[in-house]
Amino acid sequence: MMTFIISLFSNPAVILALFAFIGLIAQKKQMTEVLTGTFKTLIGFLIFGIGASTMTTALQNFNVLFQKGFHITGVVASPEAATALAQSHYGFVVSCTLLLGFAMNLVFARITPMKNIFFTGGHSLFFACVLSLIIKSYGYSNTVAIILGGVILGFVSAALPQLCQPFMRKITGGDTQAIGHFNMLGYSLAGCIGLLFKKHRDQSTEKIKFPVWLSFFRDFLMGVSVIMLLLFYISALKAGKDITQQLAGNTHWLVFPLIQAFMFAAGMSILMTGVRMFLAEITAAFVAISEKFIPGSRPALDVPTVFPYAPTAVIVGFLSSYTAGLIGVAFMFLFHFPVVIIPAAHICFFSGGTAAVFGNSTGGWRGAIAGSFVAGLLLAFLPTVLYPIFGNMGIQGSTFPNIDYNVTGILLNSLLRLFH
Amino acid sequence: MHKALVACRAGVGSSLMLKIKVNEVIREHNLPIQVEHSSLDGIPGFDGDLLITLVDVAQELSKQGVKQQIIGIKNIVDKNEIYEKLNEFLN
Repeated sequence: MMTFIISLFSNPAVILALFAFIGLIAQKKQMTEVLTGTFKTLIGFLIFGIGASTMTTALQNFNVLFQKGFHITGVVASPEAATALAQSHYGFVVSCTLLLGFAMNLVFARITPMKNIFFTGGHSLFFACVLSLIIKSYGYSNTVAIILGGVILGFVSAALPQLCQPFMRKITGGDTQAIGHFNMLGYSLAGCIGLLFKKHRDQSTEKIKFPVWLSFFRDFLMGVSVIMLLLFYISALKAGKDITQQLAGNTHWLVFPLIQAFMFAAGMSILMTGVRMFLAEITAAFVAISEKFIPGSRPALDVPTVFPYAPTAVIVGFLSSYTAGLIGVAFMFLFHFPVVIIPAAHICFFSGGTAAVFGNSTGGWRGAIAGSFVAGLLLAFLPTVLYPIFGNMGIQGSTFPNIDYNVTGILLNSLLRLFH
Repeated sequence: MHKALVACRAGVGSSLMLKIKVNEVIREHNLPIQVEHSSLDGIPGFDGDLLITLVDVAQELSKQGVKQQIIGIKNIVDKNEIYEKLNEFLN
């Protein structure tokens, strides 16, 4: 009996479903709605796992090709893929950290003047994963990892949006919404860099006309597909026919990269569908609780909510931060870094794009370019610090690029090392 | 009863909040609209008559000749804006 209970409740899908169930009951929903919401959360998490294993397989093939081709470890900077890799071993700690993080966010928003409620659940999930991995790497128990990780996650969820708020007021012209996306250190930095070009603030990116085809990258699956196609073909050609054919089995060695690249994109699409499904009910409960119990709270929302205020800046930021990422790749090759961090298009689009919206709000197009370029450099170089830890824990071939994950992670890691 | 789809680029962060807010508005004003949620990839298979998304996405979609009517919201936590635009659609 006991083993049954432990097995049941150490399953992350069950825990999340249970949480959704409690949330739905607390909101006094009808029985059918409660059941639908609970089941969908459970199904969503399982879909997430299926997407994760699809991505992992494609990523492992890429690793082999890249490593054999270039004799260096290539790491795709995609938090979805990195979380996918961690999911099978650390799913339990990660989901509990995520839930405690939500709860602690409410506590910090309630007792401090930082009234931000962080609603970008996908990002909280990836952050929970980063924190769990770092704490677990020092051999702490699950309980310690969950409590420590959850408190840190709750704190940054309430605190970091506050840093961006002065710029958010400029961008949106109000104080009702905050930004909720874990590159907030980078976004506020981009805003500050924009201040260097204060004089030219009027020369906004929105006065520039860009070729329409660039908006192709706005669909994140397109960005992912194009980059993965390039990466797979370059690596396969460099690794040569023999090695590629070994992996490809019965498939022709030049067809294999094509299928694998799109398999990666397909896995990502499945993964995000799962995330969307399992977060829907939990987020709804989170909204209901925060509106009821935390007066004056401000929702911190995903970055596309600032895109309407400066859509052209987003494209500028994508190009500028991706350029920074490619310069980073060249630099890491030339100076023989142990790993090369390969920028992922969708990260540069969302994160670099938002940095540009911030830079643009204070320094026009000059601020947008400079701000997102610096953000791009941070996205490229910061992950090299923590990669050895993640690599040792089996997270190979992909890592977490986001600035806040890495800055917080590096601080946490140095702190834990002191006590170790 | 109208059927609406709330969608955004990746279909996770912003549209989830938008869906919650749209649902609140619908409940408060008793509007005859039923809401579903997905990413932009869900649009081709959607059989309802209304799409709700962010303004910049709405502009792109309208260029692509989507068959449904499209509402673009600028500030997704602004319930007045959502109400006005839903009302406009209903009339």
